[in-house]
Amino acid sequence: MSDPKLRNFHEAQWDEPIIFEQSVPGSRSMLIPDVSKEAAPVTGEVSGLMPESLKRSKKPALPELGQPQVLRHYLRLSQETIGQDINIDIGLGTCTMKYSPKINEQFVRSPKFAEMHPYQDDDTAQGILKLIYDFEQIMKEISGLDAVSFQAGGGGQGIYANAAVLKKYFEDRGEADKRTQIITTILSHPLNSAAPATKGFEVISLYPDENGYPSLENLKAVVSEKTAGIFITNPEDTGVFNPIIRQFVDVVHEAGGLCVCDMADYNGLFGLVRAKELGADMCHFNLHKAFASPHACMGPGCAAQCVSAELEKYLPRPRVRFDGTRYYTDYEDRDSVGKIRQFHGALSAVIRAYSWVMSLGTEGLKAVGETAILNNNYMMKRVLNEVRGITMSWAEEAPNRLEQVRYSFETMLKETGVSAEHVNRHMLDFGFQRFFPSHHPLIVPEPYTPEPTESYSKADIDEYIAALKKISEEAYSTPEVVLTAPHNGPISVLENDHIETVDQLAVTWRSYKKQHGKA
Amino acid sequence: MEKHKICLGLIVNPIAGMGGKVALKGTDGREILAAARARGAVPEAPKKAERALKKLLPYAENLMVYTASGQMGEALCKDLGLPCESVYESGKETTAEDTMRAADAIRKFPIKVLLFAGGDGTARNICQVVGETVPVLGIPAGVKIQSAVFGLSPEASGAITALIARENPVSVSSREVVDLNEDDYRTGHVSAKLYGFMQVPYEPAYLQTMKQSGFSSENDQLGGIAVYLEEKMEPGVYYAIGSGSTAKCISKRLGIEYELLGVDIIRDKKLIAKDVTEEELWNYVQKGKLRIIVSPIGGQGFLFGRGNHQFSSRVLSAVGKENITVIAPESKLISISNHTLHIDCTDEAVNNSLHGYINILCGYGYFHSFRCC
Amino acid sequence: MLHYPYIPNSNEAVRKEMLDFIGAKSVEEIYSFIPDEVRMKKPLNLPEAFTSEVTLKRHVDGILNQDSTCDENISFLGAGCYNHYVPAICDEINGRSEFLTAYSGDTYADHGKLQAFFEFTSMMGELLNMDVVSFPTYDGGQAASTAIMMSHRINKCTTALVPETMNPNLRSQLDCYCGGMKLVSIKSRKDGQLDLSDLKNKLSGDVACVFIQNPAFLGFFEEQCEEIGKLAHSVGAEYIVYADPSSLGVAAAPADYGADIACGDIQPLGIHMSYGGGLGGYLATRQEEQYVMNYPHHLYSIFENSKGQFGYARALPERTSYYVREKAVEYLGTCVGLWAVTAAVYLALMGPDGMKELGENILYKSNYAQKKLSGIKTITFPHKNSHSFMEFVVNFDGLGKTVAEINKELLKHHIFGGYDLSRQMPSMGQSMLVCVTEKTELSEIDAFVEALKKIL
Repeated sequence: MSDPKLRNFHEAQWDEPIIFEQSVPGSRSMLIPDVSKEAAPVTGEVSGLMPESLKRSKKPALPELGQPQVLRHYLRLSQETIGQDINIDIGLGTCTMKYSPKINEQFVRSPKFAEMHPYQDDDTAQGILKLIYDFEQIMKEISGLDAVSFQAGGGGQGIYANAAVLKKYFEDRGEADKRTQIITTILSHPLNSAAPATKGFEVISLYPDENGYPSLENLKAVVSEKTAGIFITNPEDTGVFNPIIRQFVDVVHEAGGLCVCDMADYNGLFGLVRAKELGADMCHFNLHKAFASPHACMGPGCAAQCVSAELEKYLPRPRVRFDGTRYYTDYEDRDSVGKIRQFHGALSAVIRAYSWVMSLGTEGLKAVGETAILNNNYMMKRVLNEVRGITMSWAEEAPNRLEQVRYSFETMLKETGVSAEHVNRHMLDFGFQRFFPSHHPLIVPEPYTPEPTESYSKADIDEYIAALKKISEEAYSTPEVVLTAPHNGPISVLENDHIETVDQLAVTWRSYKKQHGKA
Repeated sequence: MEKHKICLGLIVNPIAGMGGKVALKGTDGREILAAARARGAVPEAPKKAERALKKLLPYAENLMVYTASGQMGEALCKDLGLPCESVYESGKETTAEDTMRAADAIRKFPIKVLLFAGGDGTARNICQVVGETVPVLGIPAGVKIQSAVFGLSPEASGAITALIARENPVSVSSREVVDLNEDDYRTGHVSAKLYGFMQVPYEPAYLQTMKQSGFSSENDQLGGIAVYLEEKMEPGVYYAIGSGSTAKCISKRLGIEYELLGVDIIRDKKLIAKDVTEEELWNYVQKGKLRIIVSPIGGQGFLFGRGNHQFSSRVLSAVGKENITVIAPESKLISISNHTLHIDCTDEAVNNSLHGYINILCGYGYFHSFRCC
Repeated sequence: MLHYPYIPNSNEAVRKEMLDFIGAKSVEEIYSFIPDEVRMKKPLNLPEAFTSEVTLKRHVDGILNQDSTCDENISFLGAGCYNHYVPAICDEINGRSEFLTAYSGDTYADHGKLQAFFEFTSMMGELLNMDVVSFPTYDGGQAASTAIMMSHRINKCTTALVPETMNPNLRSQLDCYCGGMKLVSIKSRKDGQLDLSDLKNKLSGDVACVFIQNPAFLGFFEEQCEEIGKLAHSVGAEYIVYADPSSLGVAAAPADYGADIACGDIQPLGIHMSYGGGLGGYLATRQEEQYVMNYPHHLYSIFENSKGQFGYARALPERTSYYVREKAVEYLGTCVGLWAVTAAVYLALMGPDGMKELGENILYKSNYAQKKLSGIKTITFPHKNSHSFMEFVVNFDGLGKTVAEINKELLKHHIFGGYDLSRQMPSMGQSMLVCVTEKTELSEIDAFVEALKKIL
């Protein structure tokens, strides 16, 4: 197979100063109407409207620029950012970087949604309430579970919301003091341990055995009368599917615990496997991943939290109900965990996800899953055969994968001194966003986790592989080229991007200036 | 003005690793070395050191390597064109004494890291002299590589050093130096000892482990572990606290004295005995209920049978798996290869009784379940 | 197989080529390792798809067009979600594909995104007069929750004192999140100001923090804020202030009256309400280890390379759950990065004078509204002796009509009346929380007053 030509790429390098450095005192880009002429005769002067103790003595030292300058500045910064729309974003695995249809942006940016207040009378909000309600029905079908909340604002909050429901469930049964432990797997997203821990659970993490997933024996060794539940991702970030998941669920159920599935790696399973068939009592889907809502510089996202009928009453409030003629907001929260996030959550993701599902339907969703699997296995075979220095864990035990693979550059590192991180930086020189290595801890050394979702064409995948091959060749012939990358990014290598003490931290310009004697 | 140079130390133990290929399990001692040579062994360590040092060549002009004469480093540096200065003159047949003297001479220079090519014996010799005063990194070249102070491969050790040569910040962590008694090892009888700790530079990409800041979260994790242990301590029960700084987090938490390299006995949050022998420990086991708090060795993951011989077969057999609490912070967990713990007691039945899965406490109420075999 | 525009490989010829390469007859053969017992037994039962964009748009627009928005009516709703003006450039920038579809890229590929994040925290730092501002979290309630847990981690105490009249939604969020903490309400005086004698009675050695909202949920400025801080500090507690950033062009920064931790919502800074979806939380402190190491969030720090270029990287990442999983102080996931970019654009557009004018405009209007409404003799203003910022409470007790009924009638005049407090704060009687912003016209306030007169 001949490889496509690689791009002679250079990202925009505007050398753009910090906005404070561009400030020209006295410049303005937004004026707010002066109402003093009409209002002051009624209210008195504004100086009398604030308590003396609270008046701001010094104006905030915000930058002062003209409107074209502000626009230009942020447009330039946008050009120094590589969104999914403008690159073949196969690298960021576990993130399910897929195409976010532009038509959906029109919906969420329309004033018909953007200018809605959450406390409007339900009669003025029948459209949005219907959409929430209808999408809940869709997510019930996709999960196979019985009730859904969209309040959680991201995957982490979705897991947290499930942990909160779990806690409440055992509190209601008077077992909260006894059921204190959560079991998860080390290859599940870190939030499957961190969010239950935040909710006050103890956490036991299981490691994969030679098959790439934890053994049933291991699970049996850790379940006990303390087990509140298991938080599990299947497939895990390795793309390996745990085929004995039902036995896992049964072991936990027999011990009196519940099963919570993190569907973060769901993209290959559309139309094939549901939470219900897995035996889960709860699950969450990231609408900003598999359901095509854009990732938006890390949010807002939305987690669809799906639960069984028994757990429905614990869902966060409000919920949307339908009485046969009218949709309404149900605030009743006697049994609920309360609020996870304000109001109904980040509904822009719900609208986009609804529209995305409605554009695909039953067969389309199945095509999404199958294409994700096809793309990944095509890429996998080529990568393992053609890119020197890359290997895959559990290659014999799990030769086929679902939607993604965790590879390793360990061989390359040992043979050339070029690490996964060096390869990662060099991807940019060919026009690709950095790849996702792995969540911590690094069970697979020198990890690399790409995910060629259904949005990428065969030609896209071929171009991506061509870059990997090129980098590998360089690692073995001219490693210094890789070691000193990126060469074509917005900035050169940041030799020191690490701080040792809190004093060295500078997350604000004022802090930076203080440390460098410029304040 | 001359550009400021990055100073490194280098000690090659030229005879390290010679026993391995001729099945002699190490080269500690002159007779064994002679035997190895007789069996056709050739120096391995200089070749491995060369593989590591090649990673430094792009930065050669910014470097100054302080080393020892001839085969102990100087010859290799000159071959490769690395600027160097020999600060210790060794004899023709190098000995452990030469390693220690060279280390002592080199550490007087402002070196960023002392690289050495060798095995556990070399690590132990260097540890004896430099302790935790300067960062040390091993190029794995010996037969026995039990200590957690070595890179994954010679290239990996070189790559970490290259980061230092490039003035990239690299974190250091306190790691165990362990050595087996080679005489016993050769006869199939294993007894290992914890010799101390060294400061080892590491970088996630090269040691598959986590970056820790100066005021690391590792301290927070050990704090969380200690609080949890304290809350769960039962009155009247003896607690035998294993060696190493991880296990001693509970002693620190309780504000009681401890012997870093030995086993201490605590009861009712008070020190009962410090640095007990196996015999003394056995007495406590017989006196009342005893629980063991122990931390595995980083890297190899040995829980018992390496460096803590006080926990003998009879002690472990009497205490039982349910009364053993295993603790480790995240960085140590990840350093353990294949997330598998090992037990190497003399009694197979005891080994077997501890096999299966063990929950390692790694924070307040947080466990990682490791296989043990 | 049908053609799906979003799935380029829904192309039989290409699929065959790929399958041939893999050596499989079908995709099903590839995933044959999935056991039957977990497979769906029949296809999903979903509504029929609108496969063309033409029909899809008609369908979704048809649903959303049933709504009637704050642009099409006169809205006096606030209570945690505010109808501020969104400058066009905010939408222009956050609609850019590069930002909208970026995710977790870092120092190099997403240099511009990180600079925008850094500028967000920097400008918030100026507004708040604090050196450390974190990457924003889900909403103000989450920021407040973390602020309280942060105080607990710092001083190990377990009681948090909060105003009884705080935002009830926020309170519900705190109740859910702050497990192991005891949330104790501090009473209010008649004029709404915090009852300091009650606060003093409740101060003890176990108080982790004293939390206030300023402006308060019910709209007025808490004038004793400096004294409250001193009282909190007298028992070693942290002083947490939840402040509306849109007030900070005219109101003192929390740090200036002693706050140790500031938090709140950034939705007022250029982000549309979107039915409550436009929220984002900020959290800020002094630059001290006890605070910094207790942030669960990303902290993007600025660095300079040898070429004199600025770059950004996540600092002290070992704090976060991405690195140490359950051992982190709290979990951290995808939050609201796009709103950080948007708020940065907003603050850069507004500048110091814009923020001042914004505050003054709102002050005039809320006072104008109260003055005008006070012409209706039968209604009362429980907090009239306090100074309100953007919102104020109007009480309708004894008029024979509930707020719900009044709001229904206002709707006929295309007016969304204030938030009905009777559901969540029954002790306030039949009260509504009226909100005005720079978008509210004086004439709209007049129309509101006239409509109310007719209704009452």
